[in-house]
Amino acid sequence: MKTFTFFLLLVGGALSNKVAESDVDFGNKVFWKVLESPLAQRNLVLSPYGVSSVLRMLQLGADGRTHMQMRAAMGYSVQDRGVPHIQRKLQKELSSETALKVANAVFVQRTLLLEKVYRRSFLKTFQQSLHQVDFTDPQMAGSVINHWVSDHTDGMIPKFLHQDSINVQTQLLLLNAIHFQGKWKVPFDPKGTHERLFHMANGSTVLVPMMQQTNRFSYGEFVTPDGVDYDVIELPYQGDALGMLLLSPFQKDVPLSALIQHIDNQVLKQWRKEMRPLSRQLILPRFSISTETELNGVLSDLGMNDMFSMLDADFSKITVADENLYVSKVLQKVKIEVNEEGTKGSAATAAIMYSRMAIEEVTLDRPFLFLVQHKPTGTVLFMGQVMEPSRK
Amino acid sequence: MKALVFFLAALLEASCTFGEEALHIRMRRGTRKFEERCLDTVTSQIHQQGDTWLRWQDQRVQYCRCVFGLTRCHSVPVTDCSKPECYHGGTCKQAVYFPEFICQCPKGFKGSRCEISTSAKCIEGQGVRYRGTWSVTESGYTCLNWNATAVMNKKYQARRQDAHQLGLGNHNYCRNPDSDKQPWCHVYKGSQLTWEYCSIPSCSAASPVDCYTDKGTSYRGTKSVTHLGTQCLHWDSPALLDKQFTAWKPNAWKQGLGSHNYCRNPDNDVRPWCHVRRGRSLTWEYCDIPKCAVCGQRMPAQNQYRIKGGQVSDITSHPWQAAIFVYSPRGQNYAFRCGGVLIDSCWVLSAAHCFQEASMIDRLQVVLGRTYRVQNSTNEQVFGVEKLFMHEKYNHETYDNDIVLLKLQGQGSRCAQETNYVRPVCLPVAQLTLPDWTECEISGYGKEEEFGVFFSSRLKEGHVRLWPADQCTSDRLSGRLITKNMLCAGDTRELDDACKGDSGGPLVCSNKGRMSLLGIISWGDGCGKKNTPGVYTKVVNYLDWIDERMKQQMP
Repeated sequence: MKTFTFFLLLVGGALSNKVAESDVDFGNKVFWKVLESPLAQRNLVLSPYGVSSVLRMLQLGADGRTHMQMRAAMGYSVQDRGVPHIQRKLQKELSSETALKVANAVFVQRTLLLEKVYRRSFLKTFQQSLHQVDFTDPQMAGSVINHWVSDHTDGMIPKFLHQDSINVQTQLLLLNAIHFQGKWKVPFDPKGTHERLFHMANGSTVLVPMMQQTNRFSYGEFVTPDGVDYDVIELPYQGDALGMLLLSPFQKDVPLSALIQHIDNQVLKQWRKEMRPLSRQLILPRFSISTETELNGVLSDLGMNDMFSMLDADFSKITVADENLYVSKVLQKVKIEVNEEGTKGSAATAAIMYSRMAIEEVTLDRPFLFLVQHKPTGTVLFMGQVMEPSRK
Repeated sequence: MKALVFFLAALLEASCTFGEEALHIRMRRGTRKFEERCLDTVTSQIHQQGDTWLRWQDQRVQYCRCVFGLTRCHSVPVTDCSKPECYHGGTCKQAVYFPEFICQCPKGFKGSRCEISTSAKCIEGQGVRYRGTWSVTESGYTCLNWNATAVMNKKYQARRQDAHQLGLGNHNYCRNPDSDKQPWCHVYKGSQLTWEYCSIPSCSAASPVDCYTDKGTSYRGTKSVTHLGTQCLHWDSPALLDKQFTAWKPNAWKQGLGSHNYCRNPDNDVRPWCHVRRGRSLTWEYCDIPKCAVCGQRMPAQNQYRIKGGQVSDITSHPWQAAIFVYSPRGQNYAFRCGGVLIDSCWVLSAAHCFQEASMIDRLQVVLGRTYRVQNSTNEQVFGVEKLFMHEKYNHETYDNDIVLLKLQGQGSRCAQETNYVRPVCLPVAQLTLPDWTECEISGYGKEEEFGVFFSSRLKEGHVRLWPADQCTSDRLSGRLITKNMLCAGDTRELDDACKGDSGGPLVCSNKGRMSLLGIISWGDGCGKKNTPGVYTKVVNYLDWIDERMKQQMP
């Protein structure tokens, strides 16, 4: 009996890795694509996890070529053996992270008759029911949706939809709202926060408050296949399951895109393998980024174009009543805040604080990338770039 | 007449030299020839039949002859000598109508060439240079005059052509003209003419360290070979007559020049040198003498003014201070990491916690002689690190055994050149304990306050007192463990303390006129907090550890 359980867990683990790894690669592709737009020069945060989550909800109802496209882009099928289990497990683990507020939902036109099988497996896989609203009254529908998002993000994202986001034609809406304000495992001492110059990509500089922390950080120096040197430093959040990885190229004139193209699941594994606890003084600007992204174009570019087409979309597993059911919008709104706050009275007694050496500085005073990763599963919750930190 | 005598003597001498050179034995030779002798009662000198000499008599110079045992003298006019003949700055006078000369000696010197030092009370080394007045042998015999008729056919006597260079003359003082183990002289034991050693005391029990300090103008050692391996010429060699620096100059004694061929630096050159003969030409070469390691000495402090967390200082006040940089690929520059302390030409101590990365040895750079942290200076000396000895029991949580020894990359056992800007500190003598509250000094390029953004641009120093061990406790230091390898020091005025960037630097205290390294800056709770001392690695606990590693690296 015991052996049997063990075996199951083993299979679960392997599958879990596969889903997480596929999600990482897919998430990175989405991030690159988003950056191909004019957004490339602005602060940006995206949740690869959020995108994958809502697409998993949708994939469950897709059929035919629509399903094939989704499966190919995402790297797996939601109906694959064990995947629903992994989805539940992941959802459960992340829900224990109190700093993370996630609202994923598929909203369907209320008048549509939904397939029983879909409703049942949706409930089973995502531990929630499908949401149905009446898009024929867009104002009412918007209000309902915004309430729902606000409720599920503890009021941190009160206005998810704008007035023009939905209209009477809307029948199927995928949304993902995430708010995250993690507390650091070790807080930054506000006394160490000073105004410093941040060098922006366009060559201009701006004075911004930068926090500093001296600690033994997990740190590593790496090089891309194109010979771009960069380093990765990890800032752990309270509870140790989540960590923020900060990446920046050594050369001042190397754009962040040179790093972004190189990041994938294998590279993430390499970091984990080679990073070492080293004493560093991390100097990091405070930043708060809120990004609202409509992912329709990006997902089409990644091969999932049928789902947005009235003619080609095949969501016959959701409903057989409307052959023309297609995705109106895939919307994501992510808000992340980075400041000094951390767990009070936590591991601030790290020995390094007492030493009198000049600790090597890692100063993020040029555009940098960040990733927030859930270490037990490898899931990348957030990925973003800071091009200009918030002034104060 | 004199010239003829000289010539004959030279011939005789030459044959003797060739015959006995390899054997170095003094033996009785030939038969004694009877001659009338004269004793000059004024000068107590013995003269042979037919000798002529000058002497001082009541401020006048007399010309004397030895005629059948009688000394016949009369006053003669004198003039300055045409060539130098007197050692130790003696004034040379020459009779106008005769070739004889006479030396008027400064105080403390006598002899016909002022070659005898009445103040020399001991011998250095084998006593080859001994020119004192000891004239009794080991078993109590009185020495024979080197000019006595009895010793005339001995190899070493006053009539040799080079007698005055060997210190031999018309006297009976012990000498060592043949580099024997110690000075000796001819004696009569009964009717037997023989020789015996003189037991003149040695100047220092241990053999003197043959090295020079600064430029070596005060070097009085016995090295007589140049860096090219050439044998030095004697400073009183006839070949050097028209040179500027010889034993004949009035201040020769002060410059250490005399009847010897040891390297000297009479002209404030960069290091000792000597005249040499290269082929047929006369020239000079530097000598290969090591510089003495003078530890714990420094220039007096100057232009200090107080700034937050210390006083600005100059590297000449802390010439043992090192600045350690680590190459940072991120910054593409050498980033300042820690202080260090020079304890020997090739050895620097620092704090172990400054060196956590295993692969960093080739990224390290040690800068000595710098007053401004990141500003190059002509006085600085920059080294890579050849070896890094981390203390085996260093604990990165408690900072116990926070010590590391760096071996600099140099040539053989030489790395740092000693200057006023670069000089090692003294390690404490074993078991050294100084009284509680002794005022000591710290120095470094560290921050002026705990959360300061910048490191100090200039070297600073602070004054801290050694805390009693019973007050160096964890309840004063955030509950952190204090081990027996740590010591506390703090400023009772609550002004000075070490801070970020000072780690690895020195805590030095004056001990017997020199600065000794009592501690290495290690850690603290903040910087300069009230009633909170800084914590230092207790260096005296690691003397054997340091010693073993340095010895192990000896070539």
